[in-house]
Amino acid sequence: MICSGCKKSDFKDGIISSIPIMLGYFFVSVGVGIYANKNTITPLQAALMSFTNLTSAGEISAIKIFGEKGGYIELLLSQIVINARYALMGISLSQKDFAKGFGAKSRAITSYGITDEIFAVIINKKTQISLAFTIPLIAGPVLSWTAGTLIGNIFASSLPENFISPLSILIYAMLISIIAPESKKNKPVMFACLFAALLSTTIFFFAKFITSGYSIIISSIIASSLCAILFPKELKEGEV
Amino acid sequence: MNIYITILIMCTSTYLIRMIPFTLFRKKIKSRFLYSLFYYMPYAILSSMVFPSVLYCTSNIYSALIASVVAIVLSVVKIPMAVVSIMSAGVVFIIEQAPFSYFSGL
Repeated sequence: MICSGCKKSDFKDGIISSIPIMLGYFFVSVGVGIYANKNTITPLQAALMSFTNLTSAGEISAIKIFGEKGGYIELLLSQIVINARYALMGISLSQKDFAKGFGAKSRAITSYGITDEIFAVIINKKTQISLAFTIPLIAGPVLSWTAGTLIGNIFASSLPENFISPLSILIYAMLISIIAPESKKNKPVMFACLFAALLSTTIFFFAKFITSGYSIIISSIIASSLCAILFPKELKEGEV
Repeated sequence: MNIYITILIMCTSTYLIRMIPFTLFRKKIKSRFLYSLFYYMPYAILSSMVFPSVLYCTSNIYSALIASVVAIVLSVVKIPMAVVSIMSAGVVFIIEQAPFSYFSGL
């Protein structure tokens, strides 16, 4: 059965973990809705885009290309690069402990929600991952991401200028609150984060031809490889 | 460009990129190097996404910088994620009000 390993507490855990993500997503998606409006996208179209994609960086980039009439090839290539990190995250996730019954169908369903924040919650979960955990974890954020986009798009022209800037920091603050505590607890992780940040900053200033998607891939692979060599993590017992 | 074709291209590529590795990759990694690599990778990915982009996401670099430091400090002392986010946004809002802009010469 698809949920034979599910526990009652998983559902509650999923909802509780999803609340900060829902809040963060709502405000950020209002910003996305506003940006879409500025690029001639209607509320329903923007809501559809958000509901089917559930990704901030990818949507912003696609909206920009749509507004500039860049073409479908540029769109497809940039989407692949920007979202390539989700492939790496998927591989990282595959190493977690999954509950009984969590097979291909569960993975196909859960994959829809592999966003940066949802990924971070799952990767940090100390107990077995079940569908009863992942579905509520994903459902709330999807709703708030879509609703925020819709609202932002509808009210785009009436929002005061000085609210838009603070809204932009929300998603970064969320990501910071994922990496900072783990870095303090685990010095090799801190090294990986600092080194990756250093690399991407260096690329930003000295190699501007490397666009953001490629920069993320290069920085993260180099930083995590170096970390894996300098600070190897012990395999759990029972393995090689 | 047609918006619906755009949306279709977006969601198809995004979903497949998420689904295929996660669904097909089943084995436990036996190599210690690869295991360590995929352990550190998520944090390196998030970190390279946040820096330096976070500094340019608000109207001025100083509000972003201070808000980032605030976010780091608050999250390290175990303040919940949602509160950290809202307080960082609040910091940006306050710093960008007129009196502070005057002092930072912006």
